Amino acid sequence: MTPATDHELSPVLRKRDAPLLRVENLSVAFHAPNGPVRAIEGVSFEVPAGKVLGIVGESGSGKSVTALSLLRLIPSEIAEISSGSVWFGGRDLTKLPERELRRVRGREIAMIFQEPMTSLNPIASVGTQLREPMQLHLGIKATEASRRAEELLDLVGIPQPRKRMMQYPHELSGGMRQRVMIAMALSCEPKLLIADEPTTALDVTTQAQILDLLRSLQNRLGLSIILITHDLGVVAQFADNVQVMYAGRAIEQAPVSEIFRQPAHPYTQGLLKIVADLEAECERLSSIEGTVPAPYELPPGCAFAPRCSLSDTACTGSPPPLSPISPGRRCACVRPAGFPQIRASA
Amino acid sequence: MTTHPLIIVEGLSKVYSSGATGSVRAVDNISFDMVRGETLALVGESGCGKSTTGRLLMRLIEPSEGTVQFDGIDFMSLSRRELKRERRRLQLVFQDPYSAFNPRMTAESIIAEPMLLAGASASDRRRRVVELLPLVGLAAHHASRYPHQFSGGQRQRIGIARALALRPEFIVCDEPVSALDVSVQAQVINLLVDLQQKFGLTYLFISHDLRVVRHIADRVAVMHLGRIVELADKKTLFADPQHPYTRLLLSAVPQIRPTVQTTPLRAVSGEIGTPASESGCRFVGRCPHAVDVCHSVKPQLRQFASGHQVACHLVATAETTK
Repeated sequence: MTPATDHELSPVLRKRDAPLLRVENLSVAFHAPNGPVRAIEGVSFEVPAGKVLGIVGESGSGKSVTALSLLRLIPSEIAEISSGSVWFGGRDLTKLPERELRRVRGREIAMIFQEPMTSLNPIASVGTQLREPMQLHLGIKATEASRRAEELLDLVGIPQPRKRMMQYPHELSGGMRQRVMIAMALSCEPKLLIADEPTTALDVTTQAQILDLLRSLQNRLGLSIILITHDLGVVAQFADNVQVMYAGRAIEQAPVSEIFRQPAHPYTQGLLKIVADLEAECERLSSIEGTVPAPYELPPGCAFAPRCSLSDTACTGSPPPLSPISPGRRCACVRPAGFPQIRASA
Repeated sequence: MTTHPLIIVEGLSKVYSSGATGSVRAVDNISFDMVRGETLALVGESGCGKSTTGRLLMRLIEPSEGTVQFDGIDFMSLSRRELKRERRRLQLVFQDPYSAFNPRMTAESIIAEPMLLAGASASDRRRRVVELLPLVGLAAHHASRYPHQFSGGQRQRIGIARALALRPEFIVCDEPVSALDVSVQAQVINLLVDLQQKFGLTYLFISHDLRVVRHIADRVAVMHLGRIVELADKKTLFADPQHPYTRLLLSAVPQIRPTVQTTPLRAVSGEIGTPASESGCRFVGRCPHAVDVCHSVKPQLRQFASGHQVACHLVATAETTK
């Protein structure tokens, strides 16, 4: 089955070969006493093979919900995918039976999380946890799995892998735990790695090491990565393409070099200004006043309008669609900065 | 304003004994002064002893050695009762306000709790909370809400209001923005700067992120495994870092200019170790420049230039006596 509306879906970088992952118009709603609450709405993007997509946003922007929904990791009692598809290897993961989806999770698409301590099992040794996915997905024997587990620990830069195999998560530092998580995620040679704030809980020095590690693994193994972060500084060093999210919607998509050279959306500009200020010598940091609105109190128009210094009556009608502004770039703003106005035709 | 220091820390150490493996010097013989109204940043990785130092200053943890003088008072010689009274002048803001608050208390009772403990009347407490909320950028109707009803940035504002409740002179800010989004970090840093100017506060600002420190600190002390390895005013530290560890920290800061190449130092950056060996420099295992003397002799913090101290054998120090 191929999507009928292909022409509408031309997100970031559609040249070259077909993308490894294509997300189309994905919406997720949480169940709430007073009816469903939209967590993300109409999110579409692609991840080409061997590329890194950075998804950037504040708490409440929907970036983690997006990541979790790709593998349907949010229990159906809590939230449901209300529309959209996730195309991966010719299949729509949103429609795949649970049994088949379990063969994709960890095998073809792996995930690492922000806090490795809560993601690792505290009462199982590193070795046991590393062997488990391989025995489950690859059907190999324990001795073979142990041998590979040691290789993996070596690959992610953990000294004395044999000794570490016998240790438990609490005996490892934060950086070591995240390395173990990465080793586990890579154990079944996935094609896509989803990393949800993998370095946020770590020291800056450890963060730099983990990003270096992910980058080198990505080059060596030809991995595709979705990196989720609130820090544009992390994305700059790491991603090929960037998607900025705000209040459940993708509001800007662009190649990394362009978004830093010329951010189009006022929100992206605000984020960039903050990070630039942080790096510079300046008296007072610029900030974006206010907070991301909760999903149940979204304004009718652009969700960023109440915090936007450029907003006027044009912004209050309905949310602006994510529209092309230049080749390979899209922005959801009625007047993207520095770009001629290309309004989406009705 | 006098130049007499508000706080004088001398030879402060904390030793934890750990059974079979002997003892760990979590904080090892550190000394520094702070004048009223200044912000000293204490920077280092997890486990370097920076939070312990903050707690030692307030005598929330008893030091093994050394003294802390606050406004001329020897904190270490105070009785329990005197300490309780004097300690009101020092307050603490924590990294994760969510775990620092009782989830079943309203914002108002959280902010008022220090005053309750200090014996203030209900009407005084109420009045002070009404005063404090707008000071930290919260609205009056926030008073009756519970911690889970606030965003991370708002919770940190409540934490700051609580710290201000007793009109302290000195605040230890222990990673106050590390758990926040970058955009919210900027808001909270600006708030801390405003409050400092308004009330003449003195901050010890503990952080692992040099990016943040740059915008709030007057001086920066870099800590590594329990020792201060470099101390300088902010400009000097960023423009002319001397200790290899300071340079390592600076190179690890994320940059938004994708063209910037990472320095070769990154390649040798290992894990932070455990302070085991008492002789020699504790950074020796990760240092790209280490020579024989670094393994055997512990480097002392020495004057490198005026107001700039470095603890490294390989940094030529100015011919000055301490």
